[in-house]
Amino acid sequence: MTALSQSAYATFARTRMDEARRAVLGHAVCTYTGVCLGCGRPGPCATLLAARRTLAHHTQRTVNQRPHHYGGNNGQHDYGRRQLPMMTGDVSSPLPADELRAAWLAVQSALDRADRQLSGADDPLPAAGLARWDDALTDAWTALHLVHAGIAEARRLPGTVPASVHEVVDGLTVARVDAERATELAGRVRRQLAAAEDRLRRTSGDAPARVAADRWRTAAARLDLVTARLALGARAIDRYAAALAGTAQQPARPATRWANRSNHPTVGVAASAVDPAGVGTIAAGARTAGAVLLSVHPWAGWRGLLARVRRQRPIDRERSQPC
Amino acid sequence: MLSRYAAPLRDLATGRPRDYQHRIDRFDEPDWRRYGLLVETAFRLAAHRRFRPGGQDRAPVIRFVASVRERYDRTGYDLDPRLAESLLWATLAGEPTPDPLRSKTHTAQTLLLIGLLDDEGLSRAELDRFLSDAEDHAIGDAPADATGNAPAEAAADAPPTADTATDDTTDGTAGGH
Repeated sequence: MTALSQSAYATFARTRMDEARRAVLGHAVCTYTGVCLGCGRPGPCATLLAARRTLAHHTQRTVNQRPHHYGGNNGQHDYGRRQLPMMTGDVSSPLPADELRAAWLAVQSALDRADRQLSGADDPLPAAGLARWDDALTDAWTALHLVHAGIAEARRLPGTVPASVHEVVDGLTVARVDAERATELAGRVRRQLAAAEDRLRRTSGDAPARVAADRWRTAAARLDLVTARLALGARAIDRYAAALAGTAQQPARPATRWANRSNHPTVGVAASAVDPAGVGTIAAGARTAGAVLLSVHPWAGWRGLLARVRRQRPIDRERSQPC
Repeated sequence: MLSRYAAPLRDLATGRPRDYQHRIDRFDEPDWRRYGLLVETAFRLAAHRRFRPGGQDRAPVIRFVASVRERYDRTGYDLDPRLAESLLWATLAGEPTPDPLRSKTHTAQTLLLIGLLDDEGLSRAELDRFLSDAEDHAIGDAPADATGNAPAEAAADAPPTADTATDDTTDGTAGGH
């Protein structure tokens, strides 16, 4: 029971939840160092735990079950990944730090594996390649450091009231430059990975070499993702900075086929009559795209499951028939 | 809740192409027109979220197109790189879609859009929000006959019943399973 009325209690609960959310945002734990980014204590700090308890209390969730709107999935904790709106502008794109760290670990794993498998080789080529890989690892490490440096730089901004919008924009510009440098480093590592994979595949047909090359391909794919996420974060920073500076622009619109027709008084008839991309063209294109993606994900979803069952049923019938 | 035009795009972005095919099989002519407009708008928004407008990002666009082509390499479908890049350049510059008379253009636009959304790693709620935003923009862009009331797709995740689940006739068109 509470002495407050229902509406007063709802207001009270909302206020407490807002405070708790701010605390969770401000006391995110750095995934790399494990230190609270808000107070510098080993994370998760007491403030963060208290805020999580408050949120759990008001949303009737357990402490270990994160609220959905804090990102992440499968109950996996990834503090420091989504709780930094200043880095992504509208919190719509995740930060690349985790991916870059995963890429770095993948590169390290691939290098260790290749080192073990190529240690007995007399050929100087693999040794030279491995030596260059040490440089690549350093680059990847530097890129990771740059990402975290950018995050630390960017997250100082909303915590305190900035003196002026120019300071915020300048800080975001620095973070963006860091992200660009990290992108360049990740791109360089990716090119080195691709070259090393190609060389290994062409010079050796052994199973261990193939495994090492496959690992490098995986690491390169992860680095592609790192680059993409860095670009998304940089664009979000651009948009955020533009919004702060009051120079935000909507994407230009005349790209559509219907552009410049909507103001015409007889637009309804005109648009359908002179539509250059006919309905048949759109339908054919959409069906082809569906067929292409179907060959990538043939059994996904309920319909995929049904199709799979249907496909297996005749085989099962054949197996169950007596000889 | 997403409209019946945005729901197929969500199916594609979440890797459920059979659901997508089932939905688009029920489209009539106005539906197709509105769906085409929605794809174009969503593509424009996603491209602007990833690349800087004004042709400053030539290398990232080229790399992105290459990565999308690589993703569909094993399906046997060869995405035309010149068409894909010209689509991105045009939308970033705010110019009309090049070569809209070919079905390949719409296919390329869809595959690039799915690639952009894939790279963003959006959650389900974020994806729905993005598609809702795209619908709002599309309504702003569309002529009167293409902006009728969009009925919501209520049974988006419901498993199909035996009579509604039809065999896919397009299974063999893009390579084996």
